[in-house]
Amino acid sequence: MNAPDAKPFNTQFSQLGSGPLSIESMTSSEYFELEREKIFKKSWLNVGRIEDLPKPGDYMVQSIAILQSSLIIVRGDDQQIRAFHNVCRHRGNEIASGCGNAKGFSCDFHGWTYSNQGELAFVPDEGQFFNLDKNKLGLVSLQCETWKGFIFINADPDPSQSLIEYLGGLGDQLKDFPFEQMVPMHRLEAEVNANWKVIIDAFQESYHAGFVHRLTAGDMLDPDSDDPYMHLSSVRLFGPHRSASVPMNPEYVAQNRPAEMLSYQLASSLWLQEGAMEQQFTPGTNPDDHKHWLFDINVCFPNFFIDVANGWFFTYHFWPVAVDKTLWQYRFYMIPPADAGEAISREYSKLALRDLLREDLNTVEATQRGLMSGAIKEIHLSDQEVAVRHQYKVVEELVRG
Amino acid sequence: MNGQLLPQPFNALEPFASEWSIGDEAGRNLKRISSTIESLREFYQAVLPEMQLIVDYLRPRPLLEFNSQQLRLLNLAKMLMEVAPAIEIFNQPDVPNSFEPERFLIMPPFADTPAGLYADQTLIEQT
Ligand code: FES
Ligand SMILES: [Fe+2]
Repeated sequence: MNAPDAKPFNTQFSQLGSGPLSIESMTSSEYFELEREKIFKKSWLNVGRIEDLPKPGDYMVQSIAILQSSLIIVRGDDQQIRAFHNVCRHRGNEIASGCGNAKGFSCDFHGWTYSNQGELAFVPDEGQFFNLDKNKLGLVSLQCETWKGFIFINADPDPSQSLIEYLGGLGDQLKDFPFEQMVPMHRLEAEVNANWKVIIDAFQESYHAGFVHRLTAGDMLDPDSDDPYMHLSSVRLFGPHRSASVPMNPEYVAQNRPAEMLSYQLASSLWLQEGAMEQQFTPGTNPDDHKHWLFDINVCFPNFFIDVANGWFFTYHFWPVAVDKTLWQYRFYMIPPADAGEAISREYSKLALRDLLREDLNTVEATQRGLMSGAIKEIHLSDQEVAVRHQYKVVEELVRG
Repeated sequence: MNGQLLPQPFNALEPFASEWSIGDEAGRNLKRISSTIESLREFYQAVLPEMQLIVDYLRPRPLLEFNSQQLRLLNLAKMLMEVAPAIEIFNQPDVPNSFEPERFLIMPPFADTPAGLYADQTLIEQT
């Protein structure tokens, strides 16, 4: 255990410095446009998991404001998952919406028809066209690769790195996590009036837990312990990505909360099952082997999180809409319940995190209002907010680079 | 059983079944946040002491083969979990100082995906 004023992360990552940070990137529309061009149009972005598209012909359309594009993600008859621009090669109409299963896509404007592998298959009244080469007029594709069941796209036609190279050390740290054993329990979504990075910041430090979450998670902190503020137990930086481990108070009991207590007695759900505190940890978690580890925050740059714990994980997507507006999405995955006791226990797990997330989202809107007021020009970060510092450093280098 | 909503051993909870046994999370949350704390407390105090009996009754039975009475009982137990934070933590129906519920979408696991269109996948949310 470090002394209360030890600053281990500044020592470990001295290149990040320790000074205040300008708020320009959180409030400037010009900066936002640079992020669009230099970051989002060049990075690998997650658009879902392979289980979302179980059968050949399954497709989903996603409108991605920051790419100014509507995309079709589709599993072709050949089982391969591809991503296409949702744009007809004839005169540019959008050809699909929502989600479903289809042999192909037919444009509503003049009936041009594409297979679910993107080839142009049929043009009505084709004889009226001039030297039309159908082989060259398939849907415009984007780079699309999968890793551990996660589907990523890249709007850059010639990305400088493959997905696995891009994920680098973060992919390596997570490669043994049993994602495939878990199923989604629910999905949450909100349009949040805050900059995408400001929202991310609220999910990549534990400093706020004792305040924003004093009711929901306040007892997870032990004011009498040698770690009253639940300091991060370790941090790793992997190029633009980062990972931080959060410990828990080993003395935690859900005092005067019998239903919450019951959820821990029925199964190993949200936190460790009662009496199993020092059990084996799930592979791909807790890299520094902390005895009282709770979960890992894993930030896949620029806008995707895969936070992992024992027997569950969740993802966040932060889709920028405007400098002060973001589409926030959350999916929570667990090992599927084997019986009613586990189902009831997991119900508590998912709604407890859900209630806690509403505390975070409320806070970040108030933060954005404060930043937009212009009253302050910079923010001041502690050693515990090293992930916040890293995010702005990475973004700034790409935007100015 | 004629008109019985819950399995016979849970006759005492019958008055709560029609109003509080709700099959989806968004519906359960809406019921919680649109109820008074008094009615939440009444429900909580009636169901909490039965929870262990409910688990003992349901646990040996295959989750995907519940009949409608058993499914209602499971949903009643999930509703108890939904109501619990209001009673045990907040002392009010909804989370204090939190993001407006009207702007916060709670969706089934495969919402907006083709997988969500297949019946066998939606069973996951049922259980
Ligand atoms: S724009 Fe699609 S067929 Fe004409
Ligand atoms: Fe939080």
